[in-house]
Amino acid sequence: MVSDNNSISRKTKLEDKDYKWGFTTDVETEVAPKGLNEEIVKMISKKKSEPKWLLDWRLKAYNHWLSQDEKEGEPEWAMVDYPPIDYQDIHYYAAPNSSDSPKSLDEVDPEMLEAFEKLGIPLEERAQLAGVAVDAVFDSVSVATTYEKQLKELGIIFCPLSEAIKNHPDLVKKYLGSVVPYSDNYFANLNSAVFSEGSFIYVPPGVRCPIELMTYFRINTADTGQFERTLIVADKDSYVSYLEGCTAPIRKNSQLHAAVVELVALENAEIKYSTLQNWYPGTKEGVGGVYNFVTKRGKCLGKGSKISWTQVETGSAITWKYPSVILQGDNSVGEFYSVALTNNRQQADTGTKMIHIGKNTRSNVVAKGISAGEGNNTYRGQIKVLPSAENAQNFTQCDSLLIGDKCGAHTVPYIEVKNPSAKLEHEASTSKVSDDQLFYLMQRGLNEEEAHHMIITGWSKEVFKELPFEFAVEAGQLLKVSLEGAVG
Amino acid sequence: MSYLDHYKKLIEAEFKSNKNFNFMRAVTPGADYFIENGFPLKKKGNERWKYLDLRNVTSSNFTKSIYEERISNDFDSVLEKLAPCGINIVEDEILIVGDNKNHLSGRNFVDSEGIGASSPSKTIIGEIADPEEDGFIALNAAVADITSFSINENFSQKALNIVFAGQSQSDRLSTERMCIKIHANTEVTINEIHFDSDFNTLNIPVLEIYLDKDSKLIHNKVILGSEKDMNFNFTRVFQEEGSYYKNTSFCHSPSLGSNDIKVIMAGQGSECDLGGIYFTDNKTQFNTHVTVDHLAPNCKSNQFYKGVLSDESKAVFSGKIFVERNAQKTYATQKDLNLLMSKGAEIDTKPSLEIYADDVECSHGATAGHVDESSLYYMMSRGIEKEIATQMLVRGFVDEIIDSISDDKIRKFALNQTELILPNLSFK
Repeated sequence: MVSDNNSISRKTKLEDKDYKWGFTTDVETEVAPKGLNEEIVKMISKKKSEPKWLLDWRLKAYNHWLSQDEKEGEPEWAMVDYPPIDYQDIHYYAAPNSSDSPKSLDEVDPEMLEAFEKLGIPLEERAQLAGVAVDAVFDSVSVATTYEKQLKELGIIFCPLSEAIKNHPDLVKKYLGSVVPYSDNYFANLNSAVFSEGSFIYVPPGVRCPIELMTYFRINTADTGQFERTLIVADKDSYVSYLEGCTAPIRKNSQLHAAVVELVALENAEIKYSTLQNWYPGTKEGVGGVYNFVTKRGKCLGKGSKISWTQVETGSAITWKYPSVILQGDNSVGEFYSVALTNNRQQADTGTKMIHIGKNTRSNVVAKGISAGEGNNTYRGQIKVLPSAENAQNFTQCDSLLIGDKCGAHTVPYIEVKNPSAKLEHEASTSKVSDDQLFYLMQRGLNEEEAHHMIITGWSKEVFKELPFEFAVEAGQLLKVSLEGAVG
Repeated sequence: MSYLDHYKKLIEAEFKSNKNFNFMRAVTPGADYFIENGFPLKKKGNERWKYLDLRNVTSSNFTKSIYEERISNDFDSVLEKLAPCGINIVEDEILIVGDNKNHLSGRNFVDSEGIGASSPSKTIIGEIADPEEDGFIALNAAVADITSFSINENFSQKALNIVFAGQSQSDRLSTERMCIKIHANTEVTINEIHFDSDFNTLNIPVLEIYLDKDSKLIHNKVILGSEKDMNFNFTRVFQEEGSYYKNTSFCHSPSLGSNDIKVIMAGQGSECDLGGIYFTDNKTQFNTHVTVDHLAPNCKSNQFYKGVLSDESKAVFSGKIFVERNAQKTYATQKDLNLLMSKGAEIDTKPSLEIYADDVECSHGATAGHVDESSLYYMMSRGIEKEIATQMLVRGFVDEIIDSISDDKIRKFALNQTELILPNLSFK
């Protein structure tokens, strides 16, 4: 039935590139015992000196998770394959040993600073030169915060979530769980019960945040699942751009990462959220690597608001991530730009959801998937137009590139329209890098690998241009490193 | 699951009637699967039917019509129905399903495998349509009325018309299965016509088609539905090397139903063109499910579907291009365009790709929207009433598909049907 086609397939060889960011920092860490039960949830809450309402919320989430775990278990619809996760074999809390948060860079553990150096993010330098305020999350407790003063003058709150819970309880209480409720999905439930750190941003009415805000997440303690929760609220007529970058050291066991990000944009506000994810993808045989099961969702609550997601995903053994926008306010806009790369045994099932509720809402989706080695890359998206969404518009484009004959590229878009005035367009294509283009470049003296890089970079430009400048450079670099030795 | 008891009895009765060994072998997996799983009503993991409300299939205990009933649905009344198509007994080959099954036998283009349940082909039945793929296919397999024949190169080049006349009594179940083999180097046109029925009936026809090397089949399908009948229509095609398959469907939605096509491209260099138009109106729900499995290199497939939805109807398009690791040099396209004509109508479209080979070119596209405002304005500013202008635009939208129907009689019939459907669509 199936013919032999050695002559047809163009031989492409994929080799493992070394994970450049693989190292472990030796910092004393306070770790909760393995396993998950009500006591652990209470302990995390106590460690954080949280108010009662939050503990109650956590416990509700935990109980919901338990019942869901019994009933249905993990979601199975994604095109990813992994051994069952033992949720009782994970540390749910780990904190660097210093009990008091450092107040300035001098107080920061030098080893931690060195770790950031190795990542190519010299904290002070980059912060000063590039004008980026860094709220670095090293495991679960925030390490250093810069530019806080400048932001304070504008009334912008940018701090660890735990601090916000203490200092701005009303804001947190109002918006936490308003976009991703604790009962949302299996992994978001888990996060709601045990989240330990994350960032909180509030931009007051009429304020345009003058700098790109940035948080660096790192998973550092062996077998620690990290459960951050980020909440960003942009009040009327405000603007904020947030960058998130991730790398993690080499680990033998797979690490679970179940984060939740919630964005709320009020009237005419705009939030730009950029992610560069380069976590440990496991060995080329598919051993280890991070399980990145993340729930990211924004709500365009006010009229004329805008939320824009940009992501470059090159790491993790498994990526399960669908940054979404609920377009509730009239005339609101949602955007999603993504480049996802899978090499070796990596698996990515990623995409977006655009839920059109308000009138004249618009959304734009550009998703690029690159599959190499034995990687599998799935775009899964949903565009939903509810009956109330008069004149809603969506344009979706998803393109896939295949490098090598052992990888897979899949596209699963769901388009659901309940309003006749809506206009939706979806287009997608899958192909390999064209021989003509390669030939053209190689004829001009580039070798095959360089030619591939040039074509792939050009192909990804549409997404890269949405990234803030510093990130765009790093993203191009990352793509190059990730594909090193993939062609030949 | 009380409805299952009913079907269990039905299946047992079917097994008791004297069926031969081959038949049993073919239908047993379907019976086992259906008794265990029933209709695909489950919510979780049910991708194919997730948007449709299938509860109505269990609303009554459908039973198979007895032979006498089918006979009463006589030849003349079917011919009458066919008259608007221009298909007649003098010029055309007509096979009326569920009735005079044997009237084709003896024609020189039909091979000795013969027609009728007595001699089902060992090679095809249940081999192309996997009974475990879906509950409906399983039920069909379990209690199927099988018509099996093959067509050789002596075929006169004219079309073979297969007519499903529609049932004339309520609560009847029809599970026709046609197994058709097209011999190598043979070129055939098959017109498959499903007439509507004004009775609450459940129709689950399954076609299994085997295309031998370098054969060519033009398959035109007309499904006419009423607000009462249900029609879950399955077509499964297996293509050998160098074969060509073209399927063009014209569907006016039954109360609940589907046009479910799967083409397995197993031979190098085969090609298929799948296309169709679906009209849904009132409160009907219709699922168009198209899968193309590219298993061999150098194959080409196209999918091009259009939908016109009005009232409170719901249409689902779920297309899939699957490219296996070996299927290098695949070229596959998929397009689904929809017009939503009224508030309350709903389209759920899912054009998906699953690709494991690298040297391929695959693309898909989908749109949903209303008729173009500026075109409408252009026509209205020239004195054409809005309603008429809208109808003309829909007509133009639909014509692209209808024009691709290569059989003259069916094309005219489809055009006539469109004329009948259009004025009744509500554009609000």
